[in-house]
Amino acid sequence: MSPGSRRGGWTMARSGPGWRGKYHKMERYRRCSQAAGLLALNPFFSYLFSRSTYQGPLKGVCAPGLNCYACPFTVFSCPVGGLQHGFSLLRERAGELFLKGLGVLLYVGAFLSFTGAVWGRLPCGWICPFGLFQELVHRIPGRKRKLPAGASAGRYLFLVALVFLLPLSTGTAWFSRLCPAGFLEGALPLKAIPPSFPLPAIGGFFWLKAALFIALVLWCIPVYRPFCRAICPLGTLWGWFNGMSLYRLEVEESTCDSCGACSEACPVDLGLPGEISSPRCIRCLRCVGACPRGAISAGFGRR
Amino acid sequence: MGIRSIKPRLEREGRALIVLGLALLAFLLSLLWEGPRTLYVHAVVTCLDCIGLI
Repeated sequence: MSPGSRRGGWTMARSGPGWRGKYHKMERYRRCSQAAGLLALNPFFSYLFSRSTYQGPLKGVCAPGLNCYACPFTVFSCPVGGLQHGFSLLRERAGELFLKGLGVLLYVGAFLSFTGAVWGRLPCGWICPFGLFQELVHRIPGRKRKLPAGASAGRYLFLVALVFLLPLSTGTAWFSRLCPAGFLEGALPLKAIPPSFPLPAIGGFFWLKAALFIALVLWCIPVYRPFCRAICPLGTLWGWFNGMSLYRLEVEESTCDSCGACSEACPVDLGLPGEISSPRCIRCLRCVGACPRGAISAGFGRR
Repeated sequence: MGIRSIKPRLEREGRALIVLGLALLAFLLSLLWEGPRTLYVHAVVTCLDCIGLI
């Protein structure tokens, strides 16, 4: 999508050489990075022949993105699934299982804190396979709309209720039961290419997940990445680090002429440049490429 | 860029480094309670919750 096409094209004068080329170059890099992320997190193609999922040590390492660990091609763990498993073990209140749950929570918490403190939500924009899927669905022609006001606040409810409280109180991974990424990356491939071990018969939750997945796909056509903005617990957790991460976006105030190009290019409707470190920013870096004066920079360290 | 704009940056880097230190500490503590091993054992079995086949 070219800058501004979502809202009827550019309305303001642009200056500076090559800003449009810089924008498209950045988007090409990002698409390549997303494709590479998809392949790097799901490289286990030998499943097609062996029909056995990956059992190696990487399965104990969290993936930097929402990538279901039930996917037959993946070699990593889902950090959201790990959090739910940790909380479900804490339900034991004491004993060995409780300590193991604490261990999982510390381990996944360390992963999320480390990646968040270094990159913030950069993996959302540049690696996450489910983000890529939503972006591709959003390319289907149709009327494009903004996310309804207040919808993004719902992600805190999903995080607290489905990832923290319900697994803690019921011992069941409720977000995983409903997760559309789990349906796309786990349920569909496993039903289409069954593993060597017998799977249980399809139950009611399969159809519930299918209905939620179809609803999300229909939502993705008019709205850009609605799952990431209104639901995703991983993005919500990483978003808290956007304001402090070592990788940062900065606006050079003396260069910025407040033309609004960054705000217009922002796919998640942030009020830029003021909200440059917002937790809602997925760090797609479109604003960097869209700024005709090069006033927005992204990277580590000081300029 | 004056001194006033450098100070928040240092504060920001300081906070990030504190979080990185806490993350390292949490990782070491998780090893005591078999965090990586427990996650591996959980993840290596196909998660039926994730598939919806329950």
